[in-house]
Amino acid sequence: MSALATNAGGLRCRLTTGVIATLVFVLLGGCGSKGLDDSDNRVDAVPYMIPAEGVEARERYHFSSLQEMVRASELVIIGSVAAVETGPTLGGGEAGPAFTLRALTVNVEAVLKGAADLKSVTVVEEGIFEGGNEYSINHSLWAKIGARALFFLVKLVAVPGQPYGLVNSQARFFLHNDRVVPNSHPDRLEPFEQRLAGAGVNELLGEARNAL
Amino acid sequence: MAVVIAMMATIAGVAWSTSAFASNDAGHRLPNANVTVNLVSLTGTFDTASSFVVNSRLSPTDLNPTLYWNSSTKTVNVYDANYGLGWYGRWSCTNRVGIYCNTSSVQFDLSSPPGGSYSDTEAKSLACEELGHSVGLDHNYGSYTSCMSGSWLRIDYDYHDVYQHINVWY
Repeated sequence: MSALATNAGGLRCRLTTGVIATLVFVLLGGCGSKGLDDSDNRVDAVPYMIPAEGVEARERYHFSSLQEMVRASELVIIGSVAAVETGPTLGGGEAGPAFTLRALTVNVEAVLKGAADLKSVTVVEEGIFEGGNEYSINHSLWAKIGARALFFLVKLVAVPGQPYGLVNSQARFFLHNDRVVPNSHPDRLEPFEQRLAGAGVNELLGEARNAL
Repeated sequence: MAVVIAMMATIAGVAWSTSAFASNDAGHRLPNANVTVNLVSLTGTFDTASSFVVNSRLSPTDLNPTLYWNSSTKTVNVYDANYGLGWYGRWSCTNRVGIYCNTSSVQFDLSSPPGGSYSDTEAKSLACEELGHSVGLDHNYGSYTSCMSGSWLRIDYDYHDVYQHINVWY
């Protein structure tokens, strides 16, 4: 059954899922509280956070397995966030409220799919609205400096500089304290993400390699 | 200490589930039933689709929607452009006060539609979902009939959306 099933059964499922996933999430690190400012230039004990605003989106992909995620990705890497900087600004005028992307410099530790000689890659993620409101797509997590993660990436050819971006809001698993933390909001996990939440890093990497 | 953390986590989990994401209540709504929808320089596809949703899907509910074109900021402001970030459409609150969202934005991405271009039904489905968010609905993935399920084939709000949420709130 989908974790996002609706009505009474779905609500019970969500309540249970929310409690378990939140417990794992909090025990492994919990929420942060600040965005792209001076505090992003130091290593945090908890290198991920949920920004204040969640933007609801119908995304190009919604995955129900790691295999689907691998298949949709051009580049799959294990890496660590070395810097968080201001990325391109999009929108504005007739395109709606302007928003600025976060540009993560990710030092590549291993390439599972894609260019094997990659040492470093810029990964953009949303975002900060004009005026400073910080948001993510579908209430997913933000990465902070020091975050180590398994990234599933595609080239964003319509974005200036054609940086890499996550395939969708599910497409990153933080590897924190040797445990897996999904990028999706703890209350919106698909069954495969629920299963991987709190699992050992080697279990995730093994599954990802098997999915190649 | 571990027990305290576990209790806090449990409480937090229930709070998230029952306030923000319970059923298909997104945890925000308009301050009243008068929703003004401003279509800003839209392409014909999304102008037609958004007008359809406002006139044929929101109007029959207890909401009191009014359409504007290229006006000053209204309750919901609708745009389309080439964003290219991996989503087809999105809704964001631009002025939130407590549980109420006073003004919000809907944005449709034109850069890579499913199958190369949006069909009329696909555009209506997307407009239905994003405008549904603007009045407080969350995703409703389990529904076979609601556009809030994310299905490209659905251009309606279902009984649950209308009679257990919209008409209760407004």
